[in-house]
Amino acid sequence: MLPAPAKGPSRRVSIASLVAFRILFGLTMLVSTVRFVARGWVDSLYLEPTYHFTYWGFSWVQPWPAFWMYMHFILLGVCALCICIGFYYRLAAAVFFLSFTYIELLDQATYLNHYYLVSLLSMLAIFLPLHANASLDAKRRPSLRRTHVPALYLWVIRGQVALVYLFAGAAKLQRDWLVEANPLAIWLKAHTGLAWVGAWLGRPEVARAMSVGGAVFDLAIVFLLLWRRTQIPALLALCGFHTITGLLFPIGVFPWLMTACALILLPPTWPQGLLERVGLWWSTTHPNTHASAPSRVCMLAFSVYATIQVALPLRHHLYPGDVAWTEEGGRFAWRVMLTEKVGDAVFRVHNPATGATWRVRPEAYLTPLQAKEMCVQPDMLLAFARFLGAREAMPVEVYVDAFVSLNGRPATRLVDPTVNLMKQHEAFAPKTWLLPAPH
Amino acid sequence: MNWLPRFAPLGLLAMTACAAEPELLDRGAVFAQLGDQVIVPPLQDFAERSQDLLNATEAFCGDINHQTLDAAQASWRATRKPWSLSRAAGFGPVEELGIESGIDFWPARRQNIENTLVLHDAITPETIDQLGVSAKGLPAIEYLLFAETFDTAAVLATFPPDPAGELRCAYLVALTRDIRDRAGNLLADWERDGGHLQAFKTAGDGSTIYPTHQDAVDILVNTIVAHLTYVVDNKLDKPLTTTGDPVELLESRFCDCAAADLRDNLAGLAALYSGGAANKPGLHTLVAFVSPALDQRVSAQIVAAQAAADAITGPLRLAIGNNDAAVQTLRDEVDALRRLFKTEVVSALGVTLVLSDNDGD
Repeated sequence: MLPAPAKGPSRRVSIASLVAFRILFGLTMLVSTVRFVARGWVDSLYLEPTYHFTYWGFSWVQPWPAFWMYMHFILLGVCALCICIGFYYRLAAAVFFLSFTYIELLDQATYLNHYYLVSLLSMLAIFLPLHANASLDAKRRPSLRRTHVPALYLWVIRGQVALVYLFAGAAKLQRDWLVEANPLAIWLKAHTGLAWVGAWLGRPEVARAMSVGGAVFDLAIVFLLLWRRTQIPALLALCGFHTITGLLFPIGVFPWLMTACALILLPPTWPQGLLERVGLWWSTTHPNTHASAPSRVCMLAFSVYATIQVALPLRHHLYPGDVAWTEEGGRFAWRVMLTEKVGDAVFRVHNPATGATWRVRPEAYLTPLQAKEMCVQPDMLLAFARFLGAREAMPVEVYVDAFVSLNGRPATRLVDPTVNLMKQHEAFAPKTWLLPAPH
Repeated sequence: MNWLPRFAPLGLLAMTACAAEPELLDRGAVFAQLGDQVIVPPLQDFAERSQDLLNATEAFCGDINHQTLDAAQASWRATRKPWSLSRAAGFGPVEELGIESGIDFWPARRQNIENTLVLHDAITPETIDQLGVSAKGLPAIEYLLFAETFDTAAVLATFPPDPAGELRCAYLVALTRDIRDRAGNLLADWERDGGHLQAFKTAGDGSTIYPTHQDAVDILVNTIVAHLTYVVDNKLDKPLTTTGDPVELLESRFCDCAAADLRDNLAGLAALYSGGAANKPGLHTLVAFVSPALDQRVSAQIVAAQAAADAITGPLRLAIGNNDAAVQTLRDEVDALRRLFKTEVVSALGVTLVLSDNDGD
């Protein structure tokens, strides 16, 4: 007698879409790694800077010497390929996660939402049996093979992808985005020289329509892809949306990564026919039909993970002021392509013993990217002020004249210029030395 | 296809929104106006005036007297002016040829200039080629023509009718010839067939140097930001905050022309922004397309900075110390202009600040 069909997280679903996710994720990461090295970003982002904005608690993460940095990226590429073909998959996923996250922890100036997503997905991949079919591992070890896995595994990835879209959409539900159509209106006007469509991109109603459309897309796409009746138009919208944003904005592999990830929201069998036709070591035999259901520990771990992932993007509500201005709780929160911020910062170093005061432009110490990012990020301004102060032989006071233009508004002071930043410390508490956002 | 009717109204709405004739921004006209009427003319003037300067120094060395010295000094000032006007658009050939510091390394190091005369028995073009930048260029010529005393008789006394005076004259003429050649090369690189002027004017329309409009906008705005930063830091902050002699840190200090240089720098910037004349396309056209309010504020800030420069009526050498408040006001107004460009103009025009092309999201 067959056991009763499982329900909930233990319910069996086809592994096909998870396998497709593994292949596409690995492939995208391989391309991304090659592209990163080819563009010279290993040098310009990690080797050239003489100062790095490390994360709180991770100042021990420092770049390797040049040769080993390149070896590190080669290792990343190899691991991405191994994930793609499912070769020593779990080891590859673990090494990829650690290597990629190490790189991301080197400098806050290089933080990108989709890099954070890559870290999270690669971490999840370690624990999910994404190599249980259409992989070299499954081909070598038939005992690994599965055609179906507990639905929990599918929903862990789906949940992570859904959170990105939903929080990105929720963050757009504010006046600047919906009413002023900024920053899209600003960005689109830079593209009015394009053939055919350029002339339209400068029109305010186009920016407004695209802003509203972008918010609706982010909020709805998860449900539209999940709901069978809307899957085809949603798929077209997904491809169209990410293609357009990829063409218009310098966002690298983000559109392709998100397109690959969002496919996980389609029915789990969607790529099965393709996998069978192409081959790719796809196996329809299932030596271990009654594979164990997720353990309680596993369920608990994923529950804790999900709770953290929901709480992190909401933490900015614990801070006063607009997160777009203060950036407190702004990272790891899927606030994607949400603001146009440009800043300028000049530090004043004062030696109370001699009475001397001198100005320091951060560009003298930082790369253009670091300086650009620091000027609009209070925690980085604080870190750099303390770096400048620590360089002096005698105790000094460090102040900053930092001005930021947010979404086209006149540049306004971000930091109280009378506050000695050497007396301030990075902490999770609100930064009382920040000035209010302009209206 | 039962989803189609549900999306049809959205399509109709989009088509209605797009029915009107879109507003066009002729970026090509902006680049043409700036290239033809704003960027290249000071370089043409610089090339012509540097030939005049060579003629004037040769005339001076042929007959050393008050009149020929006055003429040579006036010619130096006339050469300096278009150079100062051109600095806000100091991109392209001046960087590619690597000649900027060879033309204008300052503050001039008088010891290096005098050492050149001590160490050489004759001055040839090869001698000039081998000199470091601190012993040549406009500041070195200025030192030889104006000395440090603001006294014509004292300058004439440095050119005695003996071999030392002849060597000094040969050095002066060789320096001016070097400037003439550099100015000529600079202009030629802009104007030649397929040169930088053509590349700039065809930005986004077949240009290999500026494949997109945005590339040309980026170089323009980045150069302006760099120029204003240089003016604030080097021309104003350093002499204002030094604990030593501020005069030593002034630009064109031998001819007492620092204030004039500043005014010309700002006038060059104003021309770039306005297009060089009323109702002409310029950088203001691009800014106003995105934000008319920002355009007004930039224009007003340029006027404020120029007014602050005009308020310093005498030499900057005297204003520092006697009228620090006026110099500080000038510094603050130019810095406010720099900040406006670096933040709001950069934001409005989608400029990539310097050459960082990392992804974003």
